[in-house]
Amino acid sequence: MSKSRNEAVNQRIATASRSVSRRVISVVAAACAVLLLWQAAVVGFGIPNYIVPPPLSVLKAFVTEGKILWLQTAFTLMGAAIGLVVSISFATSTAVAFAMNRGLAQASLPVLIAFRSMPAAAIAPIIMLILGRGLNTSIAVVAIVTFFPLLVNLARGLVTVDRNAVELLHVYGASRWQQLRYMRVPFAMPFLFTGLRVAGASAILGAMLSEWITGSRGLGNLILESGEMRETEILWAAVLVSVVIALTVFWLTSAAERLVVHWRQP
Amino acid sequence: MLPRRSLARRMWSSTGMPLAAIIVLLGLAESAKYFGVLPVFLPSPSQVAAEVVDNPALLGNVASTAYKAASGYGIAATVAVGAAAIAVLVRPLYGSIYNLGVGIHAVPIIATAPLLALWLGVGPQVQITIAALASQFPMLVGTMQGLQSADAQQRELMHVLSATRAQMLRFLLLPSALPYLFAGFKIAAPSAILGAVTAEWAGADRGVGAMMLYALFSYDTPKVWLAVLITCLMAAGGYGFWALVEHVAIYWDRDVEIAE
Repeated sequence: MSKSRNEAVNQRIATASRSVSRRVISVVAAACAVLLLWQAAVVGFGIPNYIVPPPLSVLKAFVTEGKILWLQTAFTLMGAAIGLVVSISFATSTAVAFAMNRGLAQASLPVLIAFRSMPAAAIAPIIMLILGRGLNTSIAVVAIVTFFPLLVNLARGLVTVDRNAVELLHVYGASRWQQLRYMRVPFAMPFLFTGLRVAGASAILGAMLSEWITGSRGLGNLILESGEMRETEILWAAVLVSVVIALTVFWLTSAAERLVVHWRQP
Repeated sequence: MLPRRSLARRMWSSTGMPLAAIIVLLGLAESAKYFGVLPVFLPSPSQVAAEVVDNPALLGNVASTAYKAASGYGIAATVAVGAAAIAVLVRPLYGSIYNLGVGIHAVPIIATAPLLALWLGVGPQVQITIAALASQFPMLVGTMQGLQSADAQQRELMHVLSATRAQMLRFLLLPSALPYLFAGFKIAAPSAILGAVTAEWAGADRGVGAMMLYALFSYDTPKVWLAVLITCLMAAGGYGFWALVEHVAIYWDRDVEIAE
């Protein structure tokens, strides 16, 4: 029986890897086709540069302006990453406190949910008033924007555990910490990754938003400035970088989520 | 089973208590400012209120942002519901429509604002487009999920009763889809406001976002707070509007969750 199960798992992995490679090939092929069409259309129809630059000149911008692009991207990524780390640690500790104390959770959840619906466009200016222009503002905005999806998902994960597991640990006389360590945390992992998937996208967005409004260094500001200066090639290069970053973050977090969730729903 | 509380007590706990808390907080903030213990970036409530009174452009700005957000939202709702219906009806297209929605959702919307400004020219159309792009995803997913939420047994029953396609739609698919539709519409409303305000930062002569940006650069703290407050109220208002419509329109199966 266990053998057939192993075979089934192997088969599943094989199908999965086949589908992944097929997907990668199809994505690359589609991208090449789009680039070719793009170049042909721009040259063929004589579309002016400021509307859509040909991909070759965007590529040239990547080479000539590579240093600026890289520096600004690094700034944005740093803001987003530090903010995310801060937010994860705060969200985790708050969620654990909620899980261990039901009263605290019930008292503060409505307030937190009210805050959750506060749009990032409303948070960024206030943080800028408090912290001024610079990396700190990005970090704070990212931390606040990502805090709520993480917390809500984590809190839900730590609370929704299997009844049987609760009873078993109760029978074993497990302490609260042991319950947390052996039952609640493993059960919460899939929820953490769901939260991370939502938070990852808003982290990048939050970082770019705050750069935009503060006018400090970063990818968001580079996009805004090159748009105003009509430096279309740099604008396109920067937009492409931001799109690639966003899609990579989304893809990585979704993949991580699927990887962790698969043991829960085989 | 919870004990039924009297109506008066329920009213108190749902509206009275938060209201009292807000009034107390505002009073505290006002007196704190009066005694000079409030930091410089926090204006007193009366300063913000005064800003409402002696700001003649305020109403125009609010109306402008509301118009942009609502138009973008309307366009997004039409396209998203239509696309989701096509995706559910024409199976082969399902994956690509969903992936397109995910792709647009994953792209940082503000990154597209300068591009759109180059293509569409300066004017409300840029902000409308971004509001639409920012709010499409929950409505798309909600409609997709909703149209598929009727379970197989119910479909079989309709089949056994020899219902026509139109009857199937009217009596089974639409009623079971509505809760999901409303859930999507509710979540999307604040995103449309967020999209419109953010797009206004990138360059607009009117709107709450423009007002916010000008106030920030002149360090006009009460005005910044007023703009922030209005943004929040508009976002909450959009959400509340759909929650109200949902409350009136359906009495079954409220508060479903759609996958984000």
